[in-house]
Amino acid sequence: MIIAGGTYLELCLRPEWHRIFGSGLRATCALAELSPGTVLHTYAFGEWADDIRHSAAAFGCVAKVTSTDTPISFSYDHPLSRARCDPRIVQRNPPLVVEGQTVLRFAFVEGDAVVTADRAVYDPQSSHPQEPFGANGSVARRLALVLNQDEAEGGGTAQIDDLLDMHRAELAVVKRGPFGATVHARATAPVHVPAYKSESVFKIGSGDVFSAAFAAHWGERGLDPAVAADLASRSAAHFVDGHVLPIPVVIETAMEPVMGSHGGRIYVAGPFFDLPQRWMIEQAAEALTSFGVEIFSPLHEVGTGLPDQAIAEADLAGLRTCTKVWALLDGADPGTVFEVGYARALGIPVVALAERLESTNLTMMRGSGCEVVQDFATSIYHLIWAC
Amino acid sequence: MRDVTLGEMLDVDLAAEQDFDAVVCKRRADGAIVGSLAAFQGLSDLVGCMKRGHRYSAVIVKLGRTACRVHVTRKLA
Repeated sequence: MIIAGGTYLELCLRPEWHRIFGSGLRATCALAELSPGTVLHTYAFGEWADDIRHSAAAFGCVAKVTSTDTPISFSYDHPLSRARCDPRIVQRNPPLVVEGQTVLRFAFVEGDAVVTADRAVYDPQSSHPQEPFGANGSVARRLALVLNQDEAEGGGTAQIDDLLDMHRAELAVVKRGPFGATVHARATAPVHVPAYKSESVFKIGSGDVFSAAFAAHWGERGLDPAVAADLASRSAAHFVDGHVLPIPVVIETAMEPVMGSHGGRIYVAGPFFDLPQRWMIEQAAEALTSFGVEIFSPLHEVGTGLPDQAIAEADLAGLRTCTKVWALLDGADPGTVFEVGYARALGIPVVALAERLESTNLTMMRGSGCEVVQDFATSIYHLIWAC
Repeated sequence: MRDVTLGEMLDVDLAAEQDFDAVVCKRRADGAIVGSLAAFQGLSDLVGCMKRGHRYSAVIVKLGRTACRVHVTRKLA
């Protein structure tokens, strides 16, 4: 496999993460076993160039690095937060020229790759993939796109057909986060591919691994697009359970698929009496709505300005309209604990985030069937997956 | 990660991979490669120090089902 993709410093506050990966290096490492001898073409800050070459070598791969003057980093508060690119405005470099039988092309922030391939997979990594694959002179006999749902501008069949026309692609795989992916090909009905459940969810880079696995299975092995996308979905699930690289050649078949495609209606329970608490509630609400999940948030729907009885009645009325509860248990706020108990009495599933709450405080939660996790992204994904 | 334990000491060694060396961690009992060190700033400096004869060990500080985190320190002569 030939990969053209960026190599950047990645930083995350929690869980703590400080590594050099980016789409290009991560995809390369991911394919170490599935496509031995994978070659990465990338730009990188000059001082990192040898770090990257040794890193690729550790996976039996080769990194061809074009050195640049600027270190580029992507910072996250947590794996579901928006990435902040530093520097904000990046100087563009002359394009890389890449040729191969099968090429996986990621978009770069600091340049571009002109690809010539028999089969190419293009992951534009942008909310606005306006520039067609061939606009920079790239040519592929067969082309597949791998897009996020927002890149697919709604993901409707008409919009996808427009994108296929624009890129002159034969198919597009639209990733739908915790709900899996949809494979769109011309003149055929879309095929849904499920997400697969994992014990933990480290989300940074999961899309890179999905694209890499799809490129290997569709581009190199010539598998049916839906089969390749299903294997890519399984590979991503394997990866996110602890940033596990490389992905295995034979992927587990016993993985549990995610059923359903909407996540239900979720009650966001947690204290909001100081800035850190409010920030957490906002983060949870934003993460859930970004996946298209409907929420009831007492902070936003009811607030704090009403008499006690009115607040309690409105909050609990909202809770009764929900099918699941996300709870922030840190601090053991009495109101939140009450809401959790109320939900469990109604048989409503609860996934609770408790990063630093002592185990003795969790007895009733665990004992009544709540799932209690220590990681924010995992709590959001497990909640959406909960039945 | 079934054959290593939390707190276990590993030897850090170089393994030739095409044009660039890889840094690997080996189990002391039998020399089996447990994994490699990759994707961080300073890896090439570590390789350079090892090529100049400095020796390092790694202790497993976090152990997952399929990966572990190690803390690498220089061995004193």
